Amino acid sequence: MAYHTALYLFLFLPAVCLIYQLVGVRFRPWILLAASLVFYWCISGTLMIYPLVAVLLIHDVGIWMETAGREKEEKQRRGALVWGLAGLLGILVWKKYGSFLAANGNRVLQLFGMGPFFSAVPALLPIGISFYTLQAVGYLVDVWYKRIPAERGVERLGLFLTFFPCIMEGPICRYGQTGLVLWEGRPITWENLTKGVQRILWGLAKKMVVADRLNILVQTVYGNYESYSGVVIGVAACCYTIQLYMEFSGCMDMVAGSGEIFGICLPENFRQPFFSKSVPEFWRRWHITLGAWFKDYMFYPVSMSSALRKFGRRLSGKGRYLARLGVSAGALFPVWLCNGLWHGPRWSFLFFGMYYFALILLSIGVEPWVEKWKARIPIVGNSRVFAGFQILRTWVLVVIGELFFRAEGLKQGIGMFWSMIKGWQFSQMWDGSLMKLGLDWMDFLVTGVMIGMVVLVSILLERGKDVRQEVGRLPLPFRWGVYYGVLLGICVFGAYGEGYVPVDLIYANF
Amino acid sequence: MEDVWIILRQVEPGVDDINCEDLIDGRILDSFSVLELIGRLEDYFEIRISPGEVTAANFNSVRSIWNMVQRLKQGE
Repeated sequence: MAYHTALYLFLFLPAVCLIYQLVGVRFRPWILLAASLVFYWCISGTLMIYPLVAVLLIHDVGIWMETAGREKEEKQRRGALVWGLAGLLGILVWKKYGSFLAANGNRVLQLFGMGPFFSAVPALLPIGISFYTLQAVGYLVDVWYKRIPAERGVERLGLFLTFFPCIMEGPICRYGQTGLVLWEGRPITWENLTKGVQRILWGLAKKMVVADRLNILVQTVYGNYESYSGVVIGVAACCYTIQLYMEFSGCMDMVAGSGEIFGICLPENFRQPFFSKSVPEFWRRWHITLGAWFKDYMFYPVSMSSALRKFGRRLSGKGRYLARLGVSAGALFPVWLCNGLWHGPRWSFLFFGMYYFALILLSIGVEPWVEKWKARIPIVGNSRVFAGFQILRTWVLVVIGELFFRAEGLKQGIGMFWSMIKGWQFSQMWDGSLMKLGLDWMDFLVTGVMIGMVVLVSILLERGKDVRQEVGRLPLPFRWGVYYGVLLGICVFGAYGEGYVPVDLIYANF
Repeated sequence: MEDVWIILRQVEPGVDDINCEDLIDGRILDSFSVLELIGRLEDYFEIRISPGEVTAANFNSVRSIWNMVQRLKQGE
């Protein structure tokens, strides 16, 4: 029952809305909790036990830390935090990375003529384990730092970790921001309902018209990559980047829209990432809540640790530049290692993380020279042409990263990258090669028009315009024309029905 | 508070308004600037800032940074 399915859109969500609105205010959060558990049960069945264990764990550890803190027993508080984090991360590592570690352990043993000793059968993953685990860790760390008080109500933490719109693909919420609002039981107003439905429709259009259509081309090339080279692989990597953005941001629109109906404002995960002029900026605009989580719960604690402080002080004798670069490298390495691995137990994901680590470090390293150069030739440095070049350069770097991200393994990623460079022939663009990848000219046209609409909306958002408010101000016939247009667009041009294979949400597998 | 303002200007010379209230939310200070600012505040005021203090609420304005410094000085 993913967010784009008829079961969710036409049965589950309307039924929850109806019951939620009919019951009294104090029962509303309980309806959301019951709906979240039913939603989880429908997808993961008995694996529901894992988020429930996480809820009980953070509930007890949170109270334990607070009680110990009151008695000023710092050691006990630290012990509680360590146990809590070990429990949460231990389950994650066991379920998600167990088979990967076992397979690689066996390979190492075989090098010495031993083994295989470990069973490398992949475990069944509870849906959203990577998302709710990060939320749970964030909660414990916030209680540890006394940013928030420990929550006494286990049901409140239960709703926070399992809230059905967020459980599959995030956003990764903070208890201090979202947790308390969830339990307010705000009424469903006409304004919230219409705004929520509009956002769901927009997300649905992005997924069904663009992402699911491009999936055919991407699947064709990646599924048989040895048969392709040059431009075709480049186009497939570009299409996958667009597919991923449309799918993930579309899903986030559906998630935010679902929350909006209940008066819950969930954190945004995207802020027009393809307008970024550098890779670090791209990551401040793409999957924002994951980046913010790593920044607050890993980057700052690591860079403020006594070891890295000492290292930084030692380097500061050799200048501000070296100190900044050294501390950045020390703090960014674990962040990007974990960011890569967070996506899954694959060497290609590890490579993906290290790729961005290298790019971001390089960007910090060359920054002083770029700034000097921009100050020396301001006409060029501040020109639109230079800004366009920076945006284009970011696109190229992101597409290369996504080429490896989509590959089934590092070997495939390297093979595809090499074959793209080696076999690059511009003639493939017009010799009909691109028309043999499962999409016809009509598919390209429909995709292009929808991408154009998304770009237009992104430009308006980038200029600080509230697009929904602007549409809401239009005269009635035009306003409803837009709404019906999007709805009709999904019905007519959405990639579903005969000839299309249903496409699962990509990030739900993480 | 003047001292905090001088330190902030050393880290981020581009900040020109002492009353600016969105240093973090407005992305005027990035995470590396925050780290450098923390190091300088710790040295100057002889305090220890823990990662738990690194929140937008504490670093969004010169006043909130000053309040945090005062609180940490009193605590030590």
